[in-house]
Amino acid sequence: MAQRVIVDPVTRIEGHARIVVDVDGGDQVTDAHLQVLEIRGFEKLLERMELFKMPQVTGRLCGVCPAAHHLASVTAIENGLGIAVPTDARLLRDLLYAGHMLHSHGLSTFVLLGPDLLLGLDSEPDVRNVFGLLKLAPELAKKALRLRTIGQRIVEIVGGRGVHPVTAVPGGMAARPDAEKLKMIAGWGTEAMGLLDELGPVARARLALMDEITETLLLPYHSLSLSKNGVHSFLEGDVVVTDALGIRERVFPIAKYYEHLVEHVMRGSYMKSVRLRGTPEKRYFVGALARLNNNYAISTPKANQMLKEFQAKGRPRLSALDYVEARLVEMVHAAERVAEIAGGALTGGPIRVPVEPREGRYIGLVEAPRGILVHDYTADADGRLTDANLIVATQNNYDAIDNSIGSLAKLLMPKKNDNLLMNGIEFAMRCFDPCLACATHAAGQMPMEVQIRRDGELVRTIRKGMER
Amino acid sequence: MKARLSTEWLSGCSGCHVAVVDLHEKLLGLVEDVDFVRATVLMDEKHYPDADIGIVEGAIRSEHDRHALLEMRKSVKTLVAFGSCAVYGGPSGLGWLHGKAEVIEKVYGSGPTNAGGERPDASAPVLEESVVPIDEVVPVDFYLPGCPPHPYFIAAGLRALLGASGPPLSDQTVCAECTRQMRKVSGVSLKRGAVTALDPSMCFLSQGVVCMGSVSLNRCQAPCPAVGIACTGCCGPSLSIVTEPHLDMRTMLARRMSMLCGIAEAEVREYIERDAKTFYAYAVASPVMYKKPTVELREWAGEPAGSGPASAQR
Repeated sequence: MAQRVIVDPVTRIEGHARIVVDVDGGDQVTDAHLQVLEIRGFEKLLERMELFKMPQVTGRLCGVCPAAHHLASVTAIENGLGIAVPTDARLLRDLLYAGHMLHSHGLSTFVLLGPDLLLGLDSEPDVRNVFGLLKLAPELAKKALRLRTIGQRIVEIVGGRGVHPVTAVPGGMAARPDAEKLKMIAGWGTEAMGLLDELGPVARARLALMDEITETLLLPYHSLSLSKNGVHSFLEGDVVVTDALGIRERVFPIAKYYEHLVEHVMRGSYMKSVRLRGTPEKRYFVGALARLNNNYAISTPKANQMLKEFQAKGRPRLSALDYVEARLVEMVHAAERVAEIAGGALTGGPIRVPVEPREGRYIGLVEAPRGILVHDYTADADGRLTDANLIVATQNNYDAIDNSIGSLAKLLMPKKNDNLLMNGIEFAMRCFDPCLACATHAAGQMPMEVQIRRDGELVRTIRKGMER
Repeated sequence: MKARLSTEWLSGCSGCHVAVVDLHEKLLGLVEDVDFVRATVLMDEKHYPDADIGIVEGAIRSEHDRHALLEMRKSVKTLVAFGSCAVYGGPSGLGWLHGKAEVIEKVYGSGPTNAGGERPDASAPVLEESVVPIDEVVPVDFYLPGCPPHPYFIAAGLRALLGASGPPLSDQTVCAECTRQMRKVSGVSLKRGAVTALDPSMCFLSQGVVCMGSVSLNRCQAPCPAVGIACTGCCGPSLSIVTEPHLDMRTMLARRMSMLCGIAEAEVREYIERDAKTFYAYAVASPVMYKKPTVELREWAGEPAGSGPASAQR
């Protein structure tokens, strides 16, 4: 006899979704599955739009990681045209992206996951959120919000807007911040490092108490990420895959992504899962954890030291909980990059080269905060899209998310505490910082209803707030 | 008593919710004045508690969205359509140009990475045939367009709803806050597909680049032209276009551009019509736009006349 638990909607994740847990007659969990309930269908929406305006409109796939779409898009166009942008344009994009990482990772780590880490998985839903955190630990919560603010303000200045930045154009950047603003940004880089020095240890101390969950969330999958000859990179390089033992499985250039990746429809869901082609197909995860597993160095000193410490505890690291620590390392890297670029790396040289659209295929692949993001356009001679294919980060983690939800549900189901079970399942998801708005190229919010089913029949539904 | 605030997120990108968090320090002040009783991105509340103010991001794409919106309307006293998707359909509303089947076919059909032959099963929520803004489903009390609305306008709007005094929300276009100079220039050609121009201080229209600032409502503080990017109209049409059925963006832009740089009106108009999907992207699903007597969005955007779902509905 199998039974099924459904969690709907999942809050504190960016997107609409529901979770289904199958159990047998003895209440043992047999399977767990995330279902994404929305789709906008951007592949269709983008058809017949102007190629050179893609960087402006594709940010609208996602309000949490618009900078990733913005840069994936502009990179795709430049790859297709075969042009390189001037040094300062590249540095300004790196600066914009470092700000974006502080915003996105800061939001995920401290605002969304922070309440779970600090208040515990079994705390009351009423207080287990950023507002509760503001009441219970106001100084810490304010520092966390400040860190995200710094990141988003950098995006606003360098990208022109906080949500949906606009300054990256085919050929380079449309504008550069003046010296006064750069000085301010450099100061923020230093301030962010200070905040991370305070917030990082708090998060690490909590993680250290979670051995059982770390163990439970081990992923038997490959790590897939960009790598620039072994060095950590968000925007350039080849795609590297290593297996669960740390052995390189394959490397491929971004323009050949479609020869290596294949998308599958998943039960009851509008989000597709992505796997590595081959016989059999292989499953993998992406994001901060994969990036740290696949690279031996980071270009800034403090983050590089943290990478060594991260890898000293095992390489590859394979627990979904390890994502949290991996994001801390990347935030330090981002803060260092901010100080470095705004503090003097810019040359004052040109920021744009003139370019014209033409017929062709345009493929871009960058590391969004959550993992690799692909924009693939085909344009006609008038510079209009005739076709588009998109793979967003969270799709790549679909199998890993299902695996983690199932693992944690197995651990928590016997404790017979619905509040703990629900939030545990959501917590497993939140480790991946899933962004379901992106993932369906869609919409929505966190699903959160847990449906328990036996033999496919709904036995029981747990909803947030039912216990009150 | 603190005012109770509830938020909901339908078919959109969550950017409007992020814009609320982008109130930054002001958010801490807001938390002093209001109780967030529901904000699914930030807290674990799955139900629809009663609230004074409800803000809704996103358009209606699925039956799930419609249901959530109806629940929201029942639970709040004042409902705000928050952001261009809720107000006009926004980018989500581009789905209005395509039937549900077309979208599904494109996403799961012949793409280079699709396994092939797989489609979502019947247990996924049912998509509606088309996409509509939220006031096609429930009465809306206030509208705050923007993609997303700038935090300045979010703060001003909330302040007004909470009964505090403050400057009224402006009804001006993006041009009102743009510092570029309009100049009469001759010998300029139409720069199709361009988003930027060489002179950082001259109006884009004077430089042959179609900028939508003069026909778009300012709910953004004109950040794009300030960093060298022509306005794409993400806050939706100006109030005169919203309220006057005979006014339309393409004719107004064509006339203004023709006066400034001598490009023939017809050439500009033809370009905007041909690229209607780009230029009308943020308001295509709104009756404010598609009911205008001379506007033929579906034909311009390349769908065969009468093929879309909405033509059957309306």
